[in-house]
Amino acid sequence: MSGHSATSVDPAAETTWDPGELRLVTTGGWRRGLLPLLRKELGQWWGTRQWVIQALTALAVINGIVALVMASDPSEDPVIVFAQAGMITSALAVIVTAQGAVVGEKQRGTAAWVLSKPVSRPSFLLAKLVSYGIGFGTLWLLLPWAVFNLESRLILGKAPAALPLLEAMGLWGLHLLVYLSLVLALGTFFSSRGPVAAIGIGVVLAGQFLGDLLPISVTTLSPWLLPDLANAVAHGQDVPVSIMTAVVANLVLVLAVTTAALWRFAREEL
Amino acid sequence: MAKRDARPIADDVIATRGLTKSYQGVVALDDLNLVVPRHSIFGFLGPNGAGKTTTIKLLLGLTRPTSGTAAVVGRDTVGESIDIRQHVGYLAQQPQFYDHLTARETLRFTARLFFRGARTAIEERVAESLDLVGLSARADRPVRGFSGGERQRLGIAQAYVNHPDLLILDEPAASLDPMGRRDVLQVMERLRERTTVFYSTHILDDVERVSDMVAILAKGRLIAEAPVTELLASSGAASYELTYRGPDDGLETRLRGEPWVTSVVTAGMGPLTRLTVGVADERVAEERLLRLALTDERMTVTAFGRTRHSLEDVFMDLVQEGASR
Repeated sequence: MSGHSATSVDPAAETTWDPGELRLVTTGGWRRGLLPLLRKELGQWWGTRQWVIQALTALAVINGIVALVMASDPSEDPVIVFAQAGMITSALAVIVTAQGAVVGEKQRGTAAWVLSKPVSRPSFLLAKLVSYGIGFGTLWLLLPWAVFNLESRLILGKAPAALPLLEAMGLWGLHLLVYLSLVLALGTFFSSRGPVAAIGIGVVLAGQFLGDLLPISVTTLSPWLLPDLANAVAHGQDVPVSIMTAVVANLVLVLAVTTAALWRFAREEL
Repeated sequence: MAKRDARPIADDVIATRGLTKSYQGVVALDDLNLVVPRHSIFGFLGPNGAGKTTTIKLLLGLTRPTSGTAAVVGRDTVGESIDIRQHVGYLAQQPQFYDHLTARETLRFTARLFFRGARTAIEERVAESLDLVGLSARADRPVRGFSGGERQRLGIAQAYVNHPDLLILDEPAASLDPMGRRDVLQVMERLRERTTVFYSTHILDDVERVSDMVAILAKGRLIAEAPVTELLASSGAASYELTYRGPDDGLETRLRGEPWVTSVVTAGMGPLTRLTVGVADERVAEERLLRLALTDERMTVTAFGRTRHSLEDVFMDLVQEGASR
């Protein structure tokens, strides 16, 4: 039995610590509990059927659409179809899948359980951001990209230009990250899934319908311009704005949204 | 054995001062001053909505007080919340876990939030916790298939996995059948020597069985805090019960004529009659009450003794008194 009394740490004992012995985690501050939480979140992605379902859905939706279009209309540019369909559907997938990441845990009571342990609230959120980022980045970005290369070779007999497509994929990844951080942040502000999903999907659709109506100086600062930029980059075309400006603006957006989430979650009454 | 941090654990494991919590202007907890000594089993009683869970969440730093302060294991609940949780084990009223994990994985995850060290050491601690609550045989089944009782036992195991200085259990037996309740109480008694147990409940039989001390909360206010024995002894005016067979030959009337008798309540029980006699002077009552009954030879006294107040009587009296204030 460990000390239920006021056991103090003997510095000499610290230096002769038996590696087979338990030691209290002493990491303090915002990182407290981050690694075990990250391990748990990644286990939820890769240790259950979730990754299979996500992979099959991503392939069916993104690469399925591309294959259909390539097979039915060879004149259609497959890169445009891949980037446009992929970026919008993967953003929607992020919102649908991650809408309950925070809200669901608040509703079920698992958030209160985990946070009754020596765990910081930032760790709880950041573990989700990182694990969902890895999960979506792998299954809704890298996997469709690899399969797109294959299907282009098979159907069109040639692979798309590698470097421009990789640059476009970078913008796609940023697009995913913006929506992921947004949906996780919304989960800290609301206590049910409805508003989280509605606002998230609303933002994606607003980009589709309003993106062309708003001045480009505004859309550059939002994720709405990223699909068009990705298309242009993949084709080596000139773009009307600085890509770096769009990238930095969206990274700042991710940072701002995540900071707002951390601020709100620190005040959450569990 | 795990290394603990250097700061000593306070003798009063919980100490609150004027602790108050309001939700949108509605007071859920009002000016709570509570002291829980080390190594006690402390029952925290109150009707539903009395503020028990709010108090527990404040102690764990899951919510912030509107005013007042609280210290747990000598640390402030607002500024040192993570440090407190290092020393505390918590079982929620309806424990929830990640359904895809097994019981063993759940405990492993919990243990990793407290400890680093060799995998074998973690596994030993997990196995010990499973054994404590009798879940070893179901350790590798997903939690989603667990019954309410099994979840509750897993809840106690995860609360104990860090060998806490303080166990906070929110209604640990509320959702259990009698067998489950008995098991949980046995575990609590087993832990008595190792830790302090602070638990909320409204099952008064359980409190009487295992608690050393109780506090009673009603409408967010503390209305009593005392050792169980003291609370029972101090409850209400003294009274005696006398049960007899045979005709009532004016005994009730004679008793009412005695200056030290304050009330007489008669109840028929088939061939028997039971008198509950309220008295103003216990010493005189013990000397004279039985003698008065025995003067009539046609009466056979079958039982005599001081009325034993149950915790339920005390609880009901205090809560009703508190509600009427």
